[in-house]
Amino acid sequence: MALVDIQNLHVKFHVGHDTVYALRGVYLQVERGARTAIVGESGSGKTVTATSMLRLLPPTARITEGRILFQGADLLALSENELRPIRGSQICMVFQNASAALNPLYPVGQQIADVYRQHNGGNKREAWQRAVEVLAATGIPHPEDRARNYPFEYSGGMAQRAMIAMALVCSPQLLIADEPTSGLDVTIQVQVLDLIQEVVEKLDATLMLITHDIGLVSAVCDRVAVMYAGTVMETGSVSQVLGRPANPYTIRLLECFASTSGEKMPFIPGRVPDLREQWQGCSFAERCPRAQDICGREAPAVREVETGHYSACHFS
Amino acid sequence: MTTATTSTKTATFVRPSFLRRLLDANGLWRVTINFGILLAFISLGILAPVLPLQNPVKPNPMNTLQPPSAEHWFGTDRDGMDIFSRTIHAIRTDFTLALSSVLIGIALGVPLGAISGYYGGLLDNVITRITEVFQGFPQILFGMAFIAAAGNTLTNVVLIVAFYNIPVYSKMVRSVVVPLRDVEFVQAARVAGNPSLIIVFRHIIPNALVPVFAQLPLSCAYAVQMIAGLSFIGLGVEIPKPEWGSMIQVGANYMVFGKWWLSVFPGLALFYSVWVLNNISDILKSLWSKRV
Repeated sequence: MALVDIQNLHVKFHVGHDTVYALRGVYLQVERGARTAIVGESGSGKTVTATSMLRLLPPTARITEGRILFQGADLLALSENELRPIRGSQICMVFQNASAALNPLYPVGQQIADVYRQHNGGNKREAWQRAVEVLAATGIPHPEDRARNYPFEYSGGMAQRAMIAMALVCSPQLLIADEPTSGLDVTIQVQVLDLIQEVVEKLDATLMLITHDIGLVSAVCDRVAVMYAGTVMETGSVSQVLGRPANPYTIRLLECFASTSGEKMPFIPGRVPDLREQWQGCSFAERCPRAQDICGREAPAVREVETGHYSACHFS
Repeated sequence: MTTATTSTKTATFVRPSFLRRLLDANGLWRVTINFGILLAFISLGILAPVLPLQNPVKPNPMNTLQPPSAEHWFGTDRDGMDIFSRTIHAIRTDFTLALSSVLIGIALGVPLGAISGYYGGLLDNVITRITEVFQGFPQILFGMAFIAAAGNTLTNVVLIVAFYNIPVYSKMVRSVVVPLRDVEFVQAARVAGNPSLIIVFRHIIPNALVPVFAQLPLSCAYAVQMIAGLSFIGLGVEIPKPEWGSMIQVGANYMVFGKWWLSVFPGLALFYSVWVLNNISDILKSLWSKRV
């Protein structure tokens, strides 16, 4: 049984008078221990998928259909109180903007200690000790002093380390990292990614990495899911999807990344469909070079191209 | 140029002290005068029992309605009580009643506003509508009705004023909490598995308190006015107890006979305390709004 099994997830947002259909039937499985990347353009639904798993969607959003099974239990059917023990101790999230994810009014060490006590009990001194230890483990210099600092005294990279330290004290089964490296310097990005991998290994956890950087995917992950306009287009192992892409969208997307020497950067002609509209066929049909009549009429079923490699296309 | 860069490397930014920022934003004089007067009021009020003042509640039938003199600086009233001593002692009554009613209002209004802002939806609507109904009700009328029903005691006066402070704070805090609800550190706290009440009290309320502190002196000014107003129409503080509103009321009957000192001195005290509290609220507001 997969650790996470997302089935036919539909999410819509009410924005003013418009309805934005952000997720349109997402199917995604994450196996225990696998490092899965979710890649896609902005607005393709990566973050919405992740936040739906923790039910952190803003009040304007509605999950209209679908199930999210975590260890066989449907997260969407749980009450807030039943969900609380799962958040933090089983699923943890590292946010994109770590500096904003720390409460500005408390020292960083105290925030980590609070999380520790929330899940493991223990007295304040123990929790503080533990907080200093995990800060040290995440490579923050002078952890005893730094634990007493407030979030505004931390740099972006340090704040991200502190967030990872917080995940470390929770020891979750699933760590969701939502673009953990965007907004950091390139050198720091590498360090943070190494740290995430180290932590995942230490905790024997499963990683879901949300990113738009395909370069990261092959460096960090085993499996990858490609999203486009609210659906998953292709899933498979990194070597399958990046090496032998089956879906026309993935093929075009990789072409844009592959040619760095070219005089002119390749691009996918056309525009991302307006998510306020609903359509019958394949979301990529309008821009797809291989599109036939059927693509505009019928949403493609997911088919297995080779073992463990799935693509949602009529022709792959 | 090289020296400049090396020096900036070693120099660290130190946040200016609270007093420093207060002076920078408002100027020395404004701060000194306002805080000075407030401090004078408060220390006079605290020290009133040990200062060499005449007994504020001792009537002297032989010495009524005396104009200001060396013996009675502010004159004497209808019952021959010393107005100077009464004006000073009234600081105790008015300030304690005002402060306690404001603090009760904050203690109830802040959590109420935070809960209504955080949970949103139906609960928010119900809380907001109920507080609006209370705000729409005429206050003096409500005070009179409440005292008629519950009795003319100081506790009831405090409760009435506190009651009118609840909506002020609940609405203010609600307006700060609504944008805070979806801020990332609140999301992160939810991801960490915190129960909603801990999120509200530990992560949201402390971040929403800044406007509350700026509002506090203003509310106190308002509460002093309200308490004096209620006493003026004979509700709450009863006569021998020194209180500005009731002193003004007693003196009002003698104004037409040229006995101005009965009302003017307590009136000035009331005026200055309200004025200073308003100014201080302004000073604090300028400090916090500059930060944003």
